[in-house]
Amino acid sequence: MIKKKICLLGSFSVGKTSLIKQFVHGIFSEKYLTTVGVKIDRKQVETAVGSALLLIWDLNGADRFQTIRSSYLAGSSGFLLVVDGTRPATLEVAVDIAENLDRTMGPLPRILLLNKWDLRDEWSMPEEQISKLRDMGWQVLKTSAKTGEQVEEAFRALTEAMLRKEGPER
Amino acid sequence: MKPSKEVQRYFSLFDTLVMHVSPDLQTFNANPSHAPLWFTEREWEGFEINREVLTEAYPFLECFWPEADFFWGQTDKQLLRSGIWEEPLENGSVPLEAIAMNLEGAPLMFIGPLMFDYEAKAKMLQQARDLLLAHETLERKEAELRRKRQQQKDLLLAIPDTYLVVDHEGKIIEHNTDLLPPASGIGYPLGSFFSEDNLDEVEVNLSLARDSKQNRELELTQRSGGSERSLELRLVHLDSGHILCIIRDVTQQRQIAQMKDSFLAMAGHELRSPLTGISGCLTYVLEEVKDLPTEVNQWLSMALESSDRLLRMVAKLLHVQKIESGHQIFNKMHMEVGSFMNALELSFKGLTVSTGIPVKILERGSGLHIWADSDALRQVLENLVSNAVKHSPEDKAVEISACLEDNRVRFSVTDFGSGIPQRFRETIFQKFTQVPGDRAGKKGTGLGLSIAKAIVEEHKGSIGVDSEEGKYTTFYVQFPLFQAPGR
Repeated sequence: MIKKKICLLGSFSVGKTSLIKQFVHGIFSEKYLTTVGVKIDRKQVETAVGSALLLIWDLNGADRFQTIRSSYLAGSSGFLLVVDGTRPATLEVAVDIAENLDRTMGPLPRILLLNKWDLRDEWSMPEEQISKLRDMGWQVLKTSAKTGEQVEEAFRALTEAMLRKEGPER
Repeated sequence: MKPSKEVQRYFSLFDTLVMHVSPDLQTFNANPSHAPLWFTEREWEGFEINREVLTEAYPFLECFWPEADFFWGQTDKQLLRSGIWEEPLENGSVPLEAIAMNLEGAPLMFIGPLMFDYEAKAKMLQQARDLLLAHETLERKEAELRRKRQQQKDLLLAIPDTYLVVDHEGKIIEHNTDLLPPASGIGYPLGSFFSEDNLDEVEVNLSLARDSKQNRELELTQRSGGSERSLELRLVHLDSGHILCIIRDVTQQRQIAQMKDSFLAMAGHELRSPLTGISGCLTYVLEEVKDLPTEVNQWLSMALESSDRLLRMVAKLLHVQKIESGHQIFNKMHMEVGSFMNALELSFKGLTVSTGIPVKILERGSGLHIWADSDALRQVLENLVSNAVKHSPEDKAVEISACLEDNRVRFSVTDFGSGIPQRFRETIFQKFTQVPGDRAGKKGTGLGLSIAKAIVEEHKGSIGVDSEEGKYTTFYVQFPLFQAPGR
C-alpha cells in the first residue's frame, strides 16, 4: 500500500481539525478547540488511479502565537490549504503559506479549500481573487466540515493528484 | 545490548518510555516495567525496538529523526525536544513529546506526556485565539456598520427633500438644508426648524416615534413672514435610536389640487343646470309628443339616458367634493352594529330579487358599537354590495360580515368573481378609476368608491381591498370601536 503524508495548513479556526474529523470519523462538533502541536490520522483512500494510505497531519493554525515548524512538513506529498469562507483575512494567510511551500518544497499537489460553506449568509470571499487563483491553476473547492459537503471529494482529489504526479503504481 | 546501571536507574525513575539508543542510533532498549498506558495500548514484539517500528507507531517521529541524529552526534548540548503531538487513545488523546538526551556520552530518548503544563498552555492559547476571533468579528461588524452608514448618507444625499437627523435628546445632529431659520441648526431642537404654532405637534410626534420605534407621518402648515407653506413630515426611527425627519414641501401640489377641486366643483355646478334642462326637454318630448317615428324615439331615449348618466356623475362629483372639503354635515351618533346589520339585510332582499344573486350576512357584529352617521354608512355598504353583486357569478352569494378586529369594527363585502389585478388595487379608490376590461363597471361613474373612501375617512376610518385574481374580492371598511363613557 502506498503511503502518502499530507498536511492541512491555514490560519487558526478555519476548520482544519473539523475537516479531518469529518473525513476520518464522520463527526462534527461546533465547539472550537485550538490544536496544540500535531495530530496525525490515517485513512485509506480509493481513487480512479489507485489507492493510498493517507497519513493526515493536522498542524496547529498559523498566527502570531504559533508558527509551523518547517521540519513538520518534510516528507509531505501534498497539502490542503484551508480558508474560512467568512473571514477574508484567512485567504491571505493561505496564499502566503502556499508561496512559502513553493519556495521550500517545490511544486507539490495542493488544493485550496474554502471551508464553512454551510455559512452562505456570512460568506465573504473576494470572488475576483478566487477567480485569479483558479486562472493560475489552483484547484479550489467549497467545503463544509459541518455538513460534509465536498470533504470526501477534497481528500480524494488530492490523493489522485499525488498518485498521478508519482506515475503508475509499481 | 544491556543498558548501563545509570540508564537502568533512569528506567525506574520515570513514568515515561525511556530508551537507550544503540551506538548506530537504529535500535532502542526500553524500560519494560514502566511502560505507560499510551505505550502499552500498542502491540509490541518484545522491547528491542528499532527506528522503523517506532516511526510506524508514532509517524510524528519521522520529522524528529534528522534533528535527533544530528544532536546525538554532538556533545555540547544536553537536550533536544521534538515538539508536541497528540497521541489518540481509546478514550481521548494524550499530548506526547520526544526528548533526545546525551547522558555521559550515552544517547537516550524519552517519549512521554508533555513535561510542561500542557493544559495551561493549551488553555492560554485557546483564550488568545478566542480573543482574536472576537476581535476579528468586531472588526468585520464595524466595517459593515461603516459601510451601512455611508450607504445611508449616500441615500440621504440622493433625496430631493429636506432632511434633519435628531439625536436621543431631540437635537439636530445633521441636515441638508441651507434654508434654516435664524435660531436653528446643529445642536438646536427639532422644533426650532418649524413655526411656533407647529411646535407642540412636532414634539408630540417626535416623542411618539421615539417611544414606539415606529414611523410617523403628519402634515403641517408652516407660517412665516405672511406666507404659508404646506409641509409633509415623515419621522423615521433609525436603528441607532436617532430620528430621521424628512420634510417635503407640498405647497404647490396642494395649490394644484385645490385648483382642480375648485374647477371640478365649479364645472359641476355649471353643468348641472343645462343638463337638467336637456333632460327635462327630452323627457317632455318623449312623453308629450305623440306619433314620433320609432327610430326618432330610440335616438331620443338614448340621448335622455346619456344625459341622466351625466347628471348622476355631476351629482356624485359634487357629493364627493362636499365631503372632502368638509362641507358635508354628518349626523353621527352612537350605533349598535347588530341592529344596523339587521336593518341593512332587508334592503338587500330587494337586490337579491332583482339580480338573482343571494346576499348572505355571515357575522352581524352584535354588541359592537361605533360613532357614525348610519345613513352615510349605509350608503357606503350599499355601494360595496352593489359593486359585488355586479361582479359575482350567478351561482355564488355575496358575503357580508361585521366583526371586531384589532380593536376596530370591520365591515367586509366579498364576491367570488374574477378578482382585481394587483396593479389596480392601490388606485381603485381614486376618482374616475375603473379597472380595464371590467364589463360590469362600464356603466358606472368611477366615483362610487371615491365617495365611500371620503365618507369612511371623515369617520376616522379606513377602507381597503383584498383580492386574488380568479377567486375573490373583499372590500372592507374599519371604524374605531366606540367606548361609551363609564363603560
